[in-house]
Amino acid sequence: MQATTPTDPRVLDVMLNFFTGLYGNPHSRTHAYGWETDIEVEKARKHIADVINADPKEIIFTSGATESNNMCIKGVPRFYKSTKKHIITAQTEHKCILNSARHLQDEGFEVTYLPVKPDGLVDLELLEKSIRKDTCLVSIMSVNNEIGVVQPIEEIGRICKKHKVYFHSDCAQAYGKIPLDVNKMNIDLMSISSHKIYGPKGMGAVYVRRRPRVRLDPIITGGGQERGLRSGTLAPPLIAGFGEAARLMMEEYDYDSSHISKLSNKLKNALLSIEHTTLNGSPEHHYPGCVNISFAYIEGESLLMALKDIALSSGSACTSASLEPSYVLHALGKDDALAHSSIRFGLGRFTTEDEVDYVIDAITHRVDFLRELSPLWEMVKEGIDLDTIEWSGH
Amino acid sequence: MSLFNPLPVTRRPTKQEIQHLYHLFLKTSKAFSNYNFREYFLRKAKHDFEQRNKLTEDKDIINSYNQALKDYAVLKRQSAISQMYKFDQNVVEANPLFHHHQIKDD
Ligand SMILES: Cc1ncc(COP(=O)(O)O)c(C=O)c1O
Repeated sequence: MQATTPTDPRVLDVMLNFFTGLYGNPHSRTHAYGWETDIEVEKARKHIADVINADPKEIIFTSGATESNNMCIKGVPRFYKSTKKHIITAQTEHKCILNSARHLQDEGFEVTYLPVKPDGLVDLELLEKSIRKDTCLVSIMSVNNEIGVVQPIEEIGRICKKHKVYFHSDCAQAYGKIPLDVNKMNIDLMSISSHKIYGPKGMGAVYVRRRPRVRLDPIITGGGQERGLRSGTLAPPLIAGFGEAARLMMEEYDYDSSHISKLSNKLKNALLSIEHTTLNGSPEHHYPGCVNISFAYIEGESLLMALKDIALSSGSACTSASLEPSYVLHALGKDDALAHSSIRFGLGRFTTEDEVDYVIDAITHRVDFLRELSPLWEMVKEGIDLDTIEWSGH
Repeated sequence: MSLFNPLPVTRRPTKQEIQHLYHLFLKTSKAFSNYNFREYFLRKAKHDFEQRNKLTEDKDIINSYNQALKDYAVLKRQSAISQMYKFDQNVVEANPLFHHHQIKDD
């Protein structure tokens, strides 16, 4: 996964125009500077819409995927609350979905948090069975930010359409990186983040379908900008940067994808050839830019030490290995020990092959070294099955 | 450098002009102080010009050359900006043991 990505210099180049000469308020139609800025904002909106085959009018600018997710998860049920009071999401969703859903529960809505299968995928039968007469929204992310699992979005869209419930997808990690088409996939609402596609932070969008129209209660009210769904003066430099970032995702799609796949295969093959390592999540339904691997009989923290220098001193994505106690891995049925010895690696446009070699080398040596120190590893090597041991404290 | 004319062309550029522009891309990419950007733009320039060399139609060659001129202007500005803001070296960059895949062409 990409915790974040560096801003592409080509994106910065577009943004600098706005910080220097193009300073107009895009909403003020009475002023030439305003028109110019407005034209650029609408150009960006089109670039962003094109990536997912949407109409530019269906793109609402927000401050990021967190805001977009809040808007959808809270806004849709609140609008339809007189007849519906249930939503469905999954246990492996991003915190901003899960916490927004909790918030809804406090308001009296009911939420189903679907479990996932051991490979991280949503069980489609279970999803369909969970839809009730009063369900108004299903929210399932496209690419998981911790394990890179790609959900069967088209099938989920079909199920939602069949039962006439709205389908929202958090595509912060998927937008521009895997093929997405809101019409083919029956997506009614989609959350997008600019800083996951080499654009500026603090910027994002939500796609809201117009035909048939999806209604939602806005969270931010005011002057009625963005179809009344998100009031406030727009930020043209960020929007233009986001638009250029989206345009580049389309233009560089093939080139980036083949680079990332090549690095991903190299990293996976090398690390999985170490004994007692496993890839977390489905290997088939997997976005190659996010690799999550468990190293048995090792403490993840000690392993991360080996990567500390690369993580600290580089802006590259390969460095976003991190070590949170992972609720996502728990949802896949991993026990505490494995969830603790897992590391995720993000690979992106700016990751170099030399960095991947470095990471492979550093991890391989460190794993050897740490296992040599571990009494557990000694027992494994002697062929003792650790599960049969009773660990009693005397 | 005096050979270089940054204005869009309306006739097919010569092999020498294309080659010259390619070298300017390499030189400018190398001037990025940021390791990851430097490596990316070098790799990308190499790839793009390989693709360009496969073109056969005059119209495609002219369009592609003119696009490259625009991209070059962006690259030139951004590599200059990159040099104004320097940060710590990346460990991979600082460690010659891991320089297997760098593009050494000049
Ligand atoms: C899946 C997912 N959803 C939402 C977010 C939040 O996005 P933003 O940082 O734009 O608010 C992130 C990134 O942190 C993410 O990975």
